[in-house]
Amino acid sequence: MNLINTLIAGVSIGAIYSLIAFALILVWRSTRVVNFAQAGQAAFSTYVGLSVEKAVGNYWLALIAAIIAGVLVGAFVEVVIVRFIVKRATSAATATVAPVIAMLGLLGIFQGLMGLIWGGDYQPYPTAFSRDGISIAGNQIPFSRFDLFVLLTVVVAMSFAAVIFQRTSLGLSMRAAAFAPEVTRLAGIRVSRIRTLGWAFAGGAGGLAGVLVAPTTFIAPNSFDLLLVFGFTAAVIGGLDSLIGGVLGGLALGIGLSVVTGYLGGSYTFMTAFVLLIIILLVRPQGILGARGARRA
Amino acid sequence: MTLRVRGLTIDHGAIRAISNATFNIPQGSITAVIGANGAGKSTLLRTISGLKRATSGNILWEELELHRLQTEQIVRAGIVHVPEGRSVVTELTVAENLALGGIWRSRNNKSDVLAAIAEVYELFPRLGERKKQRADTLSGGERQMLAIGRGLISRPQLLLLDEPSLGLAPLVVEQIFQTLAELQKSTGMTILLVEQNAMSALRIASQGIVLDQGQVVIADDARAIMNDTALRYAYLGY
Ligand SMILES: Nc1ncnc2c1ncn2[C@@H]1O[C@H](COP(=O)(O)OP(=O)(O)OP(=O)(O)O)[C@@H](O)[C@H]1O
Ligand SMILES: [Mg+2]
Repeated sequence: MNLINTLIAGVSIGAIYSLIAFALILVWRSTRVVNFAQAGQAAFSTYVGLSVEKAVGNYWLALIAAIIAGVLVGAFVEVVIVRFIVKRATSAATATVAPVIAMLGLLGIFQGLMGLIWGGDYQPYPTAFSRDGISIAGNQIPFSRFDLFVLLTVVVAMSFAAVIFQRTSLGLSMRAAAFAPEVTRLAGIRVSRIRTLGWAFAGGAGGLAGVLVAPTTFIAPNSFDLLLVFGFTAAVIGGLDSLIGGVLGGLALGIGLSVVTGYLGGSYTFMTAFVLLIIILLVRPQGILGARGARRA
Repeated sequence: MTLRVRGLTIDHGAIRAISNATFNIPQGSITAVIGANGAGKSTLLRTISGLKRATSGNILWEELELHRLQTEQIVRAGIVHVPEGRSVVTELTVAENLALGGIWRSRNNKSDVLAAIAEVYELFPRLGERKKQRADTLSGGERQMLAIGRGLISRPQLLLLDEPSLGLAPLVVEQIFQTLAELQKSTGMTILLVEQNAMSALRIASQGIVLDQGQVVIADDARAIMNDTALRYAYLGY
């Protein structure tokens, strides 16, 4: 495998890490909670997509259903659970620990629930496009039409998010609420509603990521746990507060891990991500890409 | 519109910050709230704007019971709080900070929000020259102007200002106080001005309220407080 091929092979999975990082950062910025349940939310949304796919046999309807399910589950989790945990956990000790435990617990509940509804087996998820590598001048590259679709979808989704964040009142409210909730409330904005919307958007991004990755990983109640670790690593590379940083972090991680897999073998991939995560947390907790300039978006 | 505070008691856990305060803020004037560090001034403003809950007592804005409302509803009732410490969103630009103050009413009053933003730029030309600049790169004085400007975009009937002079050069303080006095005259709004800088505040105010360890010890004409040397010595230290 030559280097260029190895790099190309990491792009589309990197784009999916970007989506997960985006979802985690959005929630972190609005609520200061690392949403470990995101893996469960994304899997749940993907199962909803799969059910629609099985019922009507339309990939696109299934994709939309998964995104909508993600949005609704995200909003539900914030309104019904997170809001109360954050409100109750007022002492310094509980405020940091309680949300972490609660989100892990919620992940467990999601996985149990999915097992009951859809069973514990790995199920295949269909694709809309061929997963064979595209041939350029007779050479097949490790980048399929489906990879191209994944990449373009993520680019479109992130562009859509960028327009909302930079060009609309809603986006302005979300950015302000993330960095200065009290000032934002004093400006007359219903910050709790904005927070719910943040969780909803994040949920939608997770649902989309689930549908895009499921043809590769298959879908089972816990099949996205690794994706969460990679998405979190990407978010940390980006500094956890910067959406742009997280998206770039996802791409960098996808490509970087592809190089590791290509040259050292697949058994090193997961270990590398973890080592990277720990090194960044120790050496540069503000993130590699989390420079001040990137924080705005 | 008169703000009436009745038997207001506010606690921070075991610490009583305001005890049994009763006073009126008449419409269309500046009232200065003065008192030493820790007297409870900020706590009082934070409770009026709904950021903090009172332990007991009432805060009435005509028939509206503010002590039962959320901050967002209190803003919609025309009461805007500019808290201590030049509070702006440092990650946003000057223009974005101002726009923020108008979002809640821009669906129905888009043109008035734009007019209010233009007025703020006129009032504080330094902000107009820095529309695209991030708020964290502003000087302290500019930041304070932006914080006040953000409040004005909501077109308050009652403006709650917490120590706008804190940490600013005397010249800038004078300028901001002058602007406030003119603004009050031209708009007819009511201003509740919390200040350490007692003399400057009393000079532009018509009433003064002196807080001492959470108690309202004086609520009187601003001039009377300035002229009463014994009182000044007892509570203001000079
Ligand atoms: N969040 C809080 N938790 C606990 N105690 C608090 C809190 N905020 C204020 N206090 C206490 O309440 C009292 C009044 O504080 P407050 O900030 O209202 O005073 P202030 O008059 O605004 O003082 P300054 O002039 O220094 O701003 C003080 O004793 C303070 O320590
Ligand atoms: Mg204070």
